[in-house]
Amino acid sequence: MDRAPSGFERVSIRVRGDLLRRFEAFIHKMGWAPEDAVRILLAYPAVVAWGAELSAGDVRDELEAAPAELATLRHRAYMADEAIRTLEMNTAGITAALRQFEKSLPTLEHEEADLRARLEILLTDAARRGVAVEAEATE
Amino acid sequence: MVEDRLVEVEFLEEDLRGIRGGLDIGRPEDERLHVLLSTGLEQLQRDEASWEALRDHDDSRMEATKQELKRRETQALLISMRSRTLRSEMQVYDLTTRVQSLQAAYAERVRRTQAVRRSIALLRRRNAGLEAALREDTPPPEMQSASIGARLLRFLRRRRG
Repeated sequence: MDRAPSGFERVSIRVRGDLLRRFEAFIHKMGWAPEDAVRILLAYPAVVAWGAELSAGDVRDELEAAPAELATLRHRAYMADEAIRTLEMNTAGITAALRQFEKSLPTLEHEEADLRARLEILLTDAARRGVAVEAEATE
Repeated sequence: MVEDRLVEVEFLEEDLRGIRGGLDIGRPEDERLHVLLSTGLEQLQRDEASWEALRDHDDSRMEATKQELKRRETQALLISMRSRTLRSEMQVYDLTTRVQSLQAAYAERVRRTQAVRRSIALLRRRNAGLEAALREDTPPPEMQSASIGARLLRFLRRRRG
């Protein structure tokens, strides 16, 4: 499996037992994807702990700034997801076209090689028989 | 029935450092994360219930509590969205690079195919011309069994042009 890119760290968590049951009920109720839910839930205790160190003014400041940042991130995520969809379609299309070339190009090259071999035979025969040969046309 | 569910997620390293600060380092990572997830779920569900209870109360004494609940939800969402968004944007970059590489390969295949097709057309014309010239030079069957004298005469005529 590919590694997390630079600046990121990947964590794996095996949700089991009673927690699995509660977790699945929760994400079903919230309509969250499992990965989003795990990120939010893992972060939540730290966020709660940080709150103990904040003044009322700090909390207000965070609340003022957060919605704009959240909206910007959501917009960027949406644009990125749209771009990913398009790029994945492009990748699939070009890959399919390249596979076609992998089939057709060798056949054409084989035909070209056969024609060159035939040309050599004909030129040899013409030279042996003294038949005049036209100059080779350039492309 | 599914016994367990493996979920892999990515965090920005700086966010994960803050999250790990709350882990009990005496336990294995998997166990620590399991406990953290359980704690987070309990806290969030408790906060959800508190929010529901306070939402319709217009009591200024509860305002600070409501703001703190809102802050928690928003900050947790921000941590998740930062990672998700940046990861998606990196994926766009990687896919764009891949598509550019594929497009270059495709252009090269097109160029090569066109060149081979042109070569084939030229070779066919050339071969056809040579075959025609060689056929003209070949005497008809009835002449091929002609006498030595007849063949010599033909040869001399050809040399004279």
